[in-house]
Amino acid sequence: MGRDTISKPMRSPNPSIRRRLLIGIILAVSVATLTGSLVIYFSQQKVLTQQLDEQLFSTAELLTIEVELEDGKPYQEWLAHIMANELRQEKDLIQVWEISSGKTFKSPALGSFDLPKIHGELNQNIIKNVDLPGGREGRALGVKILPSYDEHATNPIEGIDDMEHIFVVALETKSLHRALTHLHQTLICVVIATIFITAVSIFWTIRLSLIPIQDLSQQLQERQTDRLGNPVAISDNFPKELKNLAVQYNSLLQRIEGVRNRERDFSTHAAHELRTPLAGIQATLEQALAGQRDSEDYNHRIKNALTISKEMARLVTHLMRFSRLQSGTQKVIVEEINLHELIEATMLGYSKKAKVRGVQIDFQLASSTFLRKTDEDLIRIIFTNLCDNAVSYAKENSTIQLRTFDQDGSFTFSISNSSAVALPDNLDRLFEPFYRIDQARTGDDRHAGIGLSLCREIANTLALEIKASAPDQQNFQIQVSFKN
Amino acid sequence: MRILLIEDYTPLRENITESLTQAGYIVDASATGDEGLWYAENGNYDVTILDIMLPEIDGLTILRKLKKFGSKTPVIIISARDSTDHKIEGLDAGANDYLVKPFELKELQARVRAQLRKRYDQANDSATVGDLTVNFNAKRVSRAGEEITLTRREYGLLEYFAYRIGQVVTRQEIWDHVYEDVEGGTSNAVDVYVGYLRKKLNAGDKENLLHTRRGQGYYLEAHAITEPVNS
Repeated sequence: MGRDTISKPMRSPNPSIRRRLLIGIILAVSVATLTGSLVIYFSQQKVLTQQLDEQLFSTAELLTIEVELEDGKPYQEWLAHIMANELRQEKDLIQVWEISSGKTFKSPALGSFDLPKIHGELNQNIIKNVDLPGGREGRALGVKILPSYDEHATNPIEGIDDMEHIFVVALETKSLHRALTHLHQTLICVVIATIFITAVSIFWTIRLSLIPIQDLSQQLQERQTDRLGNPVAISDNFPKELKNLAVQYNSLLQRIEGVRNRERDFSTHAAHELRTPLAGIQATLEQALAGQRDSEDYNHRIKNALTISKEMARLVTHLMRFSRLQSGTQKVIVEEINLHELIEATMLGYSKKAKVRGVQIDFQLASSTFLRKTDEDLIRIIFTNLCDNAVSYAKENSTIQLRTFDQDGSFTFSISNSSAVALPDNLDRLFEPFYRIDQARTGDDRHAGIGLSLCREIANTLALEIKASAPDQQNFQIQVSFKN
Repeated sequence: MRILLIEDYTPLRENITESLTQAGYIVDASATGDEGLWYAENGNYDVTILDIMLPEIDGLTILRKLKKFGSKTPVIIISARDSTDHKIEGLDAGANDYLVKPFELKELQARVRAQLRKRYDQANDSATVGDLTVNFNAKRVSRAGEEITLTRREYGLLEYFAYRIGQVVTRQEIWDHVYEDVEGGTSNAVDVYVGYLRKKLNAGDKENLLHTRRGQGYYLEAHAITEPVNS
């Protein structure tokens, strides 16, 4: 097919912390150790060279005065001393030039070899590395001098300025080089050993340090999906640096578990709410088919099943709407509506039920901002649920107070009734899905505990504020405020 | 057999009551927890069918109170709560069985029969006394291979005797477990129905199986027992 392929350099997408730490630390230690070794080496080299040079200075200082003026002529006393000492004959490397005559004087150890004729101005020392007889390396000090004479002489020495000599003394650097070579080898061994020991110790340290991360990873890997919220075990030897991570992880897991629980509870409650009417339909139809019946009996049973089905359909509609509101997919249609008319029409639907329970309704619709642009269907759901709850849970022969007023210039609706049932301490629980004050169904008048949750979700969607209050545990009030 | 049903959801309560009544049981139905508890504490029931989410007093509280009270009546929980934890909670509270809604009525009936068999130590779904066989499941009675037709009340009476073969059953017990109206234990209606039943069972000069223990009651046995009978 002839497709060209371009190969790109592969780079690991997940670099290893261990490898990075290992390479980084070894590189750092290597550079530091090498630098330190070089500093030590060159410092030592400088010190040894200085010592050698000082030795040359001392030797030169002692021997240059042994180029003497004797009877008006230069005399090489240093050479006489050497010749008198066998040991010095073998070791001393000295050569002197008499500039005016061109004559040179050498110590016997030099043999036919000439030292380099190095010098500076008069009495100015110059030191250089030089080659010595036999290819040996050495270091030499050269100085231009005048012969020494008796300083207490009364008569000036004539012509002494023309008696300049060049004095060169050399020392072998073999011991210096040997010491430096030994130091060099020692430092190399130290560097290698340091890098090796560092690498091994860092490897083990990193490995030990990473064990808690591996433990953490294993704990999470082995965690069963139904136990996500169980906190990660943080033992006393858990590293301080990882503890905060684990704590944050536990907090995250607990939040995830909380969301999962709420979803699971919602599903469980929804299934539970649907199971009972489903059982009602099933039992009704089973009984209808359990024997021969007349058409009136069949009609009655089918009607009962239909009534339950409608209840279920209403519940499913509520659940679907609740789900859409929660997920933010509920369509909102904004139009101008008369909130007072909507409230009156909604409450009118419950007048028969209220009458049966002997409940009076006291309207005081005093708001001047009752014309609002909002979603009529969603607002109707709020009013319907609040009116239904008030009529259902008000004490018999009591009065429901229905008020509208302007608060901070915006429409506010409140409905209050004397509660026939004990209210929870935390009234916010009333807005939890499927929360019911009375856990049972009250006959056919079913309250699944989704109504107030739906109201809150609608309030959130339409930017309303809804809150419950019970000043004395007897009177219960819900207030809905529209915001400007 | 008398059954107590405590269920607040009207369609379910009505249909279960009707179904069990048609199956020959006497059913007392209650829609609230407090009323149901009163029935349970003051009645003599063979099985209690109990919902959990009830008004006034919830089902688990009723169950715990009954067990504390020393009630031996088996309890079948019917609940929409289907999780294992809920089932465990119900069974640990003292329930003998747990049925998740929705269920088929015939399954509920089968579970009621199972609890009755356990309560009266019956291994099978039928009881045999001499040549008399009572099939609890099919609600049929035969003697020497010949089927005997009984009224609903007569069958209920025989079924109660069959569950307690060899035991003396008092008139009060018969009233409590077989008759819808629990009042009137001194009435001779029991004696009248026992007479009807005995006549049908012994038809054709067959040996009497339903014996009288004077001053105590009746017992079903192949032969009359001369020594005192355990009741």
